[in-house]
Amino acid sequence: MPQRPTPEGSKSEGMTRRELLRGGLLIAAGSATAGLLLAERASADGDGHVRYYDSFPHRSAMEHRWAMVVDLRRCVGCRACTVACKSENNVPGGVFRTWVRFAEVGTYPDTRPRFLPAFCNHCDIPPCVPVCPVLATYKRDDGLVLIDYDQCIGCGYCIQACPYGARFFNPVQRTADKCTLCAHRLESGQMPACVSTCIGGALTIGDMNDPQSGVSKLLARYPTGTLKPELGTDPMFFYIGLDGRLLEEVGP
Amino acid sequence: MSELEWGLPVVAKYLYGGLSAGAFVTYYLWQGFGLPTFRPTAKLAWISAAVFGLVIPIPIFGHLGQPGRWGNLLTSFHWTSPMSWAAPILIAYLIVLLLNGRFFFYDDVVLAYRQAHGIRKKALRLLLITKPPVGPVPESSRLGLRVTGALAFVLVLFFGYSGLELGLIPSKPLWANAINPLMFLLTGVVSGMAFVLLLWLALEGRPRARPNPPETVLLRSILLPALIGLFLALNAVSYVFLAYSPPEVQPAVLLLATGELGVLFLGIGLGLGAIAPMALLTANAVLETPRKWILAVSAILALVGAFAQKYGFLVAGQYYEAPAGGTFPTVWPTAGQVVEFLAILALVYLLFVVALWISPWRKVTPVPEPAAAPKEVAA
Repeated sequence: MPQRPTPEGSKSEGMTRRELLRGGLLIAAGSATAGLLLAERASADGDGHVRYYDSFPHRSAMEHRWAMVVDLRRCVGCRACTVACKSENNVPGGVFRTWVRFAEVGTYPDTRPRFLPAFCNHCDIPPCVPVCPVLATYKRDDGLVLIDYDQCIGCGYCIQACPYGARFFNPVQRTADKCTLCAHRLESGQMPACVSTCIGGALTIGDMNDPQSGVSKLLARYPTGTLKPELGTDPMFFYIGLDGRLLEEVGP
Repeated sequence: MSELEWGLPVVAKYLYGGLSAGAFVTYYLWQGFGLPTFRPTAKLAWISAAVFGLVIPIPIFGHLGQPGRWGNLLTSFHWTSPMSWAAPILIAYLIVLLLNGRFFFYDDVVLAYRQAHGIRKKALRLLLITKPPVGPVPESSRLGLRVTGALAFVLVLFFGYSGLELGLIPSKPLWANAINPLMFLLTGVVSGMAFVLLLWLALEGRPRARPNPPETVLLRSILLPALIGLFLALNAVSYVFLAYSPPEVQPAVLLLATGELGVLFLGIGLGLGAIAPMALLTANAVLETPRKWILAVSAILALVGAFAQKYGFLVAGQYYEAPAGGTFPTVWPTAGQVVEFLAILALVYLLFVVALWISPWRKVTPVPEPAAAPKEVAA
């Protein structure tokens, strides 16, 4: 392309316009591509965590897969699990990692109280993971869905994406927060605080891929249901005694 | 009970993003597509795009729980999260936009620089980036103008990512809609164009004078009412979608239609903020002498409407999905959020005052350089 003639006396000693344009466009393109390269590095750091929607392995491909069976016939609604969880994990006031929903089921006077303990479902296809803009939330190779609290920016996208209302904004650490299934206790061979404290023995945790585990035996013996199966998240919390009337009463 | 996770700061982010995108599109209609109708507003449109573009990050930082970690957004880009697109898109957009302005305003900035004094002169020197030429002002690079303009326009099209943020959450049936990105982009363009027209009327409108031919063409433009009409048509399409959505969506729809947000969303957002300006602007287009006040009123209504639509849609979508089976105490923002919103609004005003003071948004008339003193003839 022929050089445009520069009027006499207008030649500058600094950057030329061509250099300016080239430099600016390089910076603009660089800001986009640098992000791509850095993200590639972040996702390939060999920590065994899965952060992308299209790469979640099915639970059968995992060596261990933690799962919980909640026997609603045994739940008395004492909320000991809620309290134990808050105590174990230092959960601030006003927010909950574990909670129990209550409903009067039936028609007066023929009614009875029903309870629905609720947690993070540690889904096989967790909708909270792919939306995290900073890759702070991830699925571990044993199926637990966790949050890297040092990476989280507290944007709240995962909170919106969770169909179970299991995530919340922690007002003290100012990040997203949720049930970790007491990963720290599982790693040291202990049960999660909610399971240990459940007075009715309604909660059973175990390795779903181990046919001898309590979870596998319960799943083989009883019909179970999961919450919002229509969303395709494949939750790892299975409920015995879950029925439509209870779900209708407790709401979304 | 806790306050809404995504409240007024997120609405502000969507609002300023839309205003910047809309203002740029208005500018590009003349600069890129050569539409002469929008020539009178081109400079003000570019300035508006730049000011609103610079403001977009502020409500984002206000909303984040850990704003100090914003750098994580730059190092974690991935396609599965539209929010992750925001940082590279916004940074690239701002850089390309500022470069484009440098080419667009070059002649005027050089002339204004020569006539300016003090802080304004220093500011104009910064805007020039390269060393100011002496003597005749060289023509600005057309290639640079075209390339940066086209790039910024492409980046603006990606501003629909904000609608995608909401659209791909299946657990929020009100938001989960494939046409959200287009609707967000459209409301952004409408609000940005309305703002530019309002600013143009305020600064150059000569309210009592009859419109001259270029003003008449602009006042008669049917582009803005057509865009509002398209937005309303897409709204109708989304209501058809909602009719076939799971029953969980009903409380949110009722909240927007007849509930606490009904007046804001349906009355102000769609009635006063979309149908009324569309009707007024269409009427103005067919009047023998189009009225400036009609355009002004329509632009104000469209701006207020854009805010009301965004607020209602965002709040209603999450209101019945509180964490831990709880409930949100109110659909309205907290006092702190309102103060923050007003503070950002004040900052926008201040930035506009500064931008209009520094930038040569009116045509700069070259001042003839004083003739050199005749050399003394040696005796």
